[in-house]
Order: sequence, then structure tokens, then C-alpha cells
Amino acid sequence: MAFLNKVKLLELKIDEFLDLVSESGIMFEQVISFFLEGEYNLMNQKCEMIRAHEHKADEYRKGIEQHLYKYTLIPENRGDVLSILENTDKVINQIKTAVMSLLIEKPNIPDFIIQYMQMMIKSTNYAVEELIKAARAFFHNFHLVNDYTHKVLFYEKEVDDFSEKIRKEIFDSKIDLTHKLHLKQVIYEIEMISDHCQEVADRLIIYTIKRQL
Amino acid sequence: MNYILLLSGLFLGWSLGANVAGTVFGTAVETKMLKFKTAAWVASIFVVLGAVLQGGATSSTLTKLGSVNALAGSFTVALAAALSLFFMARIRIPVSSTQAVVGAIVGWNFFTGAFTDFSVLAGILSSWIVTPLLAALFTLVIFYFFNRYLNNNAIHIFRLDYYTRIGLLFACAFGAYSIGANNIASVMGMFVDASPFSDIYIGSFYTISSTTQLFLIGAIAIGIGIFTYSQKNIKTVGNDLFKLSPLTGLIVVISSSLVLFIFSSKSLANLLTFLHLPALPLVPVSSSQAIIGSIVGLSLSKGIQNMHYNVLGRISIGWIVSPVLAGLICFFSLYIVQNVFDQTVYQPSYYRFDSFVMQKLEDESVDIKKLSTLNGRTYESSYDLRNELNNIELTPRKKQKIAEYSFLFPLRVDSYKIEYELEKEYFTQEDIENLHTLNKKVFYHKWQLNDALIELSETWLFKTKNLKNNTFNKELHRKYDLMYQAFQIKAISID
Repeated sequence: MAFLNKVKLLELKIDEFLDLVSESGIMFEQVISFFLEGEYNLMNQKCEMIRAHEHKADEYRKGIEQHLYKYTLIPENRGDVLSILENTDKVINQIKTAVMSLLIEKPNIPDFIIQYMQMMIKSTNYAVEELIKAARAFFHNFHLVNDYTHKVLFYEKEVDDFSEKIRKEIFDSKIDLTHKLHLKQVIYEIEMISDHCQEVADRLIIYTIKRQL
Repeated sequence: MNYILLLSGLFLGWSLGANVAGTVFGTAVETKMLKFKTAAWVASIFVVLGAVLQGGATSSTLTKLGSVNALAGSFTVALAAALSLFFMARIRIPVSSTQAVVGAIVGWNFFTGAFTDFSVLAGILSSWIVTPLLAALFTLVIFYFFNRYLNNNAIHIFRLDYYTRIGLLFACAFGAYSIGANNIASVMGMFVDASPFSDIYIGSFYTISSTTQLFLIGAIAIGIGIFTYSQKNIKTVGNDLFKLSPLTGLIVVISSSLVLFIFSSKSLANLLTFLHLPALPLVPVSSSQAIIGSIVGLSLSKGIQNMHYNVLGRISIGWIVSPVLAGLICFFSLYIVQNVFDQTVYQPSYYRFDSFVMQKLEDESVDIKKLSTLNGRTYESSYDLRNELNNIELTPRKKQKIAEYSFLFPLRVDSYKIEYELEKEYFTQEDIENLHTLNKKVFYHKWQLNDALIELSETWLFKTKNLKNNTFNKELHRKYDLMYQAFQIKAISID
């Protein structure tokens, strides 16, 4: 029974870890929205919360890793699970990096890219949400993983398309080259979030095949 | 000296333990689902339990194949089997102790000129084909249900891991129990007729028979084999043939253990007989054959392209080479043991042609005029008798009958043995009463006891051979075998 309790505790920890990533994705959209509206105080609060989530997620990940090794749980899939956790952790890390850049650098966003940017942020958020569903499915009911991973890949492609359009608009415009390069960097950092999501989704697809009886 | 000769059996047990551990818990330990020590303890305990509680069932089949009745002979048979196993292991072909032992016993039969009961041999050989097929079938069925269950039920990866661990632990115990029950006959079966132990009586209620004592030390040898050498051998045949995960490993172990179990379970055989279903013969089968069959079944379920056919071919050839090699080694070793070390490798079997036998043969419509040269004579081996019968023009069936009726097998019906040594669960109250009527009576041939019982009640008569009467005849056969075993007198005067 003691062993079963350890197993239950681990299930709980993984769910909490995924909750942190999911919440960070939601807050990321809010941060961008506050930033575009010039609500810097609210933005600051949300950034702090994301930073705290990221820190907590790191702690959870390390705890889960130790737990897995200490009790030699899922030896056959341990590497896969750790890889999923580490790469999912990269998503929340990237969310933090992106929002901190906005908070510190406060780039001037020209009106002609705002609409595309909002759509890009929405797709990024969807990619994160679908990724979390896919990851949860991998642990709880791996037959459903593909139902979510294909959505992650779809939203990631959408983010890429929006990113491309935004960069085209930026470099077609008459703004300063330094401004152009700054905006390009901001867009790149946002785009990286869904890229990390795609990386995890690709792994999930392979690991799901491995898990099949 | 007698005890030293048991060493080859213990060596065989040890090598069996070192080899079978891989099949029982190799996957569990290799995939780190179970710790080696945990698995080894569980396997050792259950091997001993299986051997002691259920080991007797299959050994009678081996003794029917060849009744190795001298300790030096048993020593040589076990040694030949162990050497054959050792050689095959060196060239990395997984073979079974059962196959090697059967080959060695046939080698002993050839050397001593004893009759090889081809119907028993055919039963064992057919089990070698049935075992992997049945194991593959079981795997297909179990895989189907596992897969269906997992597809229809969302089980968390960690919960599944936990259940798999528990499952592997139980499968390890069940597999070890089945191996103990089924394969102990391969290790110690040839010593049964030449056991150096005497029965131990605990009060007047419980007897530890010499056979149980033999099986116990054989099982302990298997356990020591598991602990001392199996860790080096743990890389399972499975991984060479097909990559197993903990869950598929669990399916393979369950299905192969089930096969071993049904080939050694008296209760199951009785149940099938009771339900008028054909019961499988209680024969020692190979655990490695069962496991290979299971893996083939698994690969059929998962996609046959993943199977390594060259490995499968090599293993199949090993199944033919192993018994032949053991038979040859046994034959030549017996020659050396008998002539160089001056040891008795077999006790003579006596065939006596007294007036009772001649009368019986006449009743059985054998032309006894042709047997006039045999009348009053006693032959000291089946080889001598066969040579004598070869000079007489008779059908092989008649010759078999003559050998059967003239075979000297002294029996003494004893009320004490009826009460305390006979396995009474197979007999009716009326049967027991009949036996008590014959108390203190001595018979020199098995058929004399049969006839005496038939005179008392017609229930002792075999019925016409057909499917309907099959169950009755099988049960009656078993009753007679149990009586011969219980009432046999070892020391006799042949005059």
C-alpha cells in the first residue's frame, strides 16, 4: 500500500506540474493584452506570477525526476517521461523569457502588426493548451494523445504563418532598422513557445507508439 | 556412495535453476521491474512448493518411459542430460532439461535392452509440439484481452506500472510453481525407482515418501541454481527472439506458466475427465519451449515482421539435437560406468514363465505350444526375453503381451498401506472394501492382482475402447498404477 501511495503522490505531482504550464499559457495571453493596452501594473503582476509558476515548475520537475529514480518507477518509460517533462518545462521557461523581454524592453508595437500579433498569441496559447491535454492523455489515457498532438502541430504552423506575415510587414515598413530588429527578436521569442510545444508533441507521438501493447 | 550418485541429479537441478530463471523472471529483472533478490526468493520458494506439492504427477510418465532402476544408471542418465544441456548452453541454444532427460532415458533403454514404450514416448514427443502451439494460442488470447482492457480503460501510466509489477511478481511465483511441479520429474524422476531414501513416518498420520524427499532436495538444488548462477544467464531467450516490454513479458510468463501448469495438474486433468473432456497427458514439458511458443504468439499479435527467424530456426534445431545428443552421451557413458567403474547401471527385470503365466497366455489366445521352450524359465532382462522371442514366430502385439504377462512384479496387499499410503481420493468406498478383502495376499504379476479384483467386482474390468469409455478406462488405469506403486514389494525370491 505504501508503494501505491507513492505512485498516487507522483500522479498528483505531474498533474500539478502540467497545471502550472497551462496556467502560464493563459497568463501569457493576458500579459500581452495588458501590454498592448498599456496596463503595465497589471502586466507586472502577471509577469511575477508567471515567474513564480516557472520557479515552482522547476521544483516539481526535479522532485518528479528524483522520485522516479529513487523508487525505480516505470523503468521502461522513465527516459520518455523525463524527456516530456524537461521539454514541457522549456515551454514555461520560454513563456517567462518572452514576457520578461516585453516587461524589460517595452518594445513599441506598431499598429499594423497588432492584429496579427493578437492572432499569433491566441494560436500560441491554443498550442500550449492542446499540448497540456496531450501530455495529460499520455499519462492517463494514451489512446487520446493523437487527438491533441495534431492540434498542437496545427496551431504551431499557424503561429509560424503569423510570425512570417508579421516579419514581412515589419521589414516592408518604413520604421528604423533597429526598431525592426528589436520587433523581430520579440516575435522570435514568442514564436519559440509554440516551437517547444511542437518538439514535445513530436516526442509524444513517438512515445505513444512505444507505449502501445 | 548412494548419496554421492545423487549429485548428478542435483547438478541437473542446479543447471535447470540457472537456466529457467531467465524464462520465469528474466524480463521482470531485465526491465528493472523486480529486484533480482526479490524475484530469486519468490521463484526459489515456489519451485520447492510446486515440486513437493504437485511434483509426482509427471514423474510417473518418465518412469513409464524407462524405469531407470539402479542408482548408477540414474546418475549416468542425469549426467548425460546435464552435459547435453551444458553443451547446448555453450553454443547459446536454449533447450530444455526435459528433452535432454527423455533423450537420456531412451539411451538407457537402448543400452539395457529395456522396452521403450513407444506410446509413452509418442505422448511426450507430441507434447513437445503441443506445448509451443498451446503457449502461442494462450498468448494470442491473453494478449487480445489485455489489449482490449487497456484500450477500454484509462489507466494512469504509473498505476499500470504498479499493477504490472504486482502481476510480474505473481506470474514469477506461478511460473516457478509450475516449473517445480512439471520439471522436477526431469531432474529427479529417474531416481524415483532407485531412491536411496526411506519413507519418513511422522506419527501414524503423515508420511514423507522417499519420492517427496527426492523432489525436495532436487527443488532446493534448482533454488540454489537460481540464486548462484541465474543472474549471469538472465538475458532471456525472449530478448534475442523478440524485444519484450514488462507488460508483454507478463503476458508471455502467464501463458507459458499456464501451459506448464495444465501439463502437471492432476486436479485439472480430473476436472476435464469429470466434464467428459479430453484431458491433456501429465507429462514433463519444456519451459523454454513454452516460452518460445508464447513469444511467437506475441509476435503474431504484434506483427510477425519483428520476429528474428534465424534465431527461431536455431532454437528449433536445438530441440531435435538436444535429446539425440543426450541419448548418445548416455549410451556411451553407461558403457564406461558399467565397464570401467564397475557399477550396476540397471537392475535386471525378471520375466517368469510359470504355470499361472502359461494359463493366462492361453486364456488370452496365445498359442502356448510355440512357447514350450519358455515354460518354467526365468529371464533376467527384457533384452534376453526379446532375443528368445525373436526365435519364435509371433506377432509384435503377442510378443508385447507375453512380456507384459510374464513380467515379475511382486505385490502384497496390505490394509495399513491401503489406509495410509494409497491415494484414496481416486478410489470409491467399494474399491477400498475390495482391496481390504485381499489383505495379506501376495501376487507375483500385476495381472494377478487385476484378476483377483475383477473376481470380486466387475467394476475393475476395462470397458471396450471407444470415446465414451475413454474416461472410465483412464481412471481405472490410474487406480491400477496407484495400487502397483503402493503394494510393490522390493525384495523377492524368484524361485
